[in-house]
Amino acid sequence: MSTLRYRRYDTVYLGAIGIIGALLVWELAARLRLADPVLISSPMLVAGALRGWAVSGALWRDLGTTLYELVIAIGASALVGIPLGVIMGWNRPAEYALDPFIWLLYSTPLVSFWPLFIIWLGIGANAIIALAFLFSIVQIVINTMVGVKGIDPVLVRCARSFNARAVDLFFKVTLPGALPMIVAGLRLALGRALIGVIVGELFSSNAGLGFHISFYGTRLQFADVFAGLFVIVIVGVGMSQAIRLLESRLVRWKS
Amino acid sequence: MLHIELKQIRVTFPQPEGGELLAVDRFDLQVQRGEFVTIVGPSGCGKSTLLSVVDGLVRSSSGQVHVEGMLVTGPGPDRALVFQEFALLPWRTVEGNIGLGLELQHKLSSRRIKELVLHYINMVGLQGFERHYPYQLSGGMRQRVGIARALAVNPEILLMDEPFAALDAQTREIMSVELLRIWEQDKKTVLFITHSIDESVYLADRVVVMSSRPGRVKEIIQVGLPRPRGLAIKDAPEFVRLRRHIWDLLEEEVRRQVDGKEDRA
Ligand SMILES: Nc1ncnc2c1ncn2[C@@H]1O[C@H](COP(=O)(O)OP(=O)(O)OP(=O)(O)O)[C@@H](O)[C@H]1O
Ligand SMILES: [Mg+2]
Repeated sequence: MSTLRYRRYDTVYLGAIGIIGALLVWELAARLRLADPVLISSPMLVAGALRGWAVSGALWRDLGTTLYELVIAIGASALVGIPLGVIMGWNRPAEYALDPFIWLLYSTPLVSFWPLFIIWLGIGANAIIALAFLFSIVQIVINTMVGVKGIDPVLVRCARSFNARAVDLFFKVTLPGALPMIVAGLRLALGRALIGVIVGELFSSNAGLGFHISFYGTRLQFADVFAGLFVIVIVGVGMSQAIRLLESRLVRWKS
Repeated sequence: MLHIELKQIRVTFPQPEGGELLAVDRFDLQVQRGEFVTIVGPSGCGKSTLLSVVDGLVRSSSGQVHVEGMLVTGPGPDRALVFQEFALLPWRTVEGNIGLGLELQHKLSSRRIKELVLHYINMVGLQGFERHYPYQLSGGMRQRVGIARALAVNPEILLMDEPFAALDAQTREIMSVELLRIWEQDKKTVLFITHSIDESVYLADRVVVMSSRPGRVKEIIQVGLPRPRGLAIKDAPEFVRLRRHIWDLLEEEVRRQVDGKEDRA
């Protein structure tokens, strides 16, 4: 019996070939006019648009705005969501009392709150941060709660057997035990926050990657739209990879 | 001098389908200071529960535990429990786990804790594994970490719940010799649960044989064998006689338990 073993090197290598192949097909389709070049643009044109965007300095401003909104939103989510999740994991009545709100946030298309946010917070960063906050907090609360609940009760018994103070119980058992789940939640929440930020920027703003896309989209300048998409993908992939790295460092103790 | 006194201990657990399970009932035991008492009994008869009650982790439904005449209402630094399930923090290394009890007590500096931890790592033979995480250890090594963690807080009473269960027969014997050596040094009071009849006799001043659930004292057997004991004592006629006697008692209980189950089926 023989199975093909792929090394890490191979997966990167083959992945790159796949991407280059797709770009080639795209470029050829545009050159040979297999599809309308105005609509599909082409990799060369996108690269040009990207360069122009960067040289003008607008790229850094847009990227900065989006990252700023993202960081504030995810930071607030973590700050509010982790304690909330811990409380819900520890305390049944609190869990049941807060459950409806979690489900509301989880199952409602939160975008429909957008008009309200605009009225309450005005057009711009604040409304966008609020939207991204609501998008992401649920994931953090749920993961934290599940993490806290999943801690082996015998570990708690052990700490209590040594007369652990409540603070120690929290910082030496509960938090480290729930940490892998919390960080995984953070990774998922980041993806959701990015959606919130981009959607908010698409709707109404005057800066950010989403704004860039909607601005050029309405002007039918699709090379610039694709350039915007490209940067968003980079941001999304980069951030989730960064958290994955953090995760693998934090859970070295897992077999 | 009387050290631990269990009076009419009764423990019930609420059942998921409603109703209650009587785990331990009318359990009486008096343990002298410095005494080594082993407890044997059929699986599920309430041994672990009993030890949790003495540690203060589980409240008895009725009856009391007194330690040095003081009513036990919760865990205390005078008692340390070695858990049947090891209960190691998976995110802490061997060092970190052994030092946990000392850390939680907030009595010593972290430097002093490190020194003590090193001492106990040597005592249980885990040199070279200081930086290993529990998942990197064998079952027997994990168990030794649990033992070292309990010893490290230097309790007056050691509550040990099948501490050698995960060890191979040889290591088990070596560890029990080692435990007796430690015990003879500073004469802690020990309550020691085991499923090994050999071990129960070898270690004990007295062996408590429990009935099947609800756990009661079936018989308490005085072990008059001289100390210090070498492993050769296991061939002594008195040892063989005691082992036979405990075996018969347990067989009776296990049979009763099995028959009971068949009746219900
Ligand atoms: N926290 C708990 N909640 C409900 N029932 C429990 C709990 N702890 C123990 N029991 C029940 O009490 C009985 C005695 O359990 P215990 O763990 O004390 O037995 P044991 O004598 O230590 O068994 P073993 O030799 O297999 O370790 C069992 O029927 C068990 O199901
Ligand atoms: Mg048990």
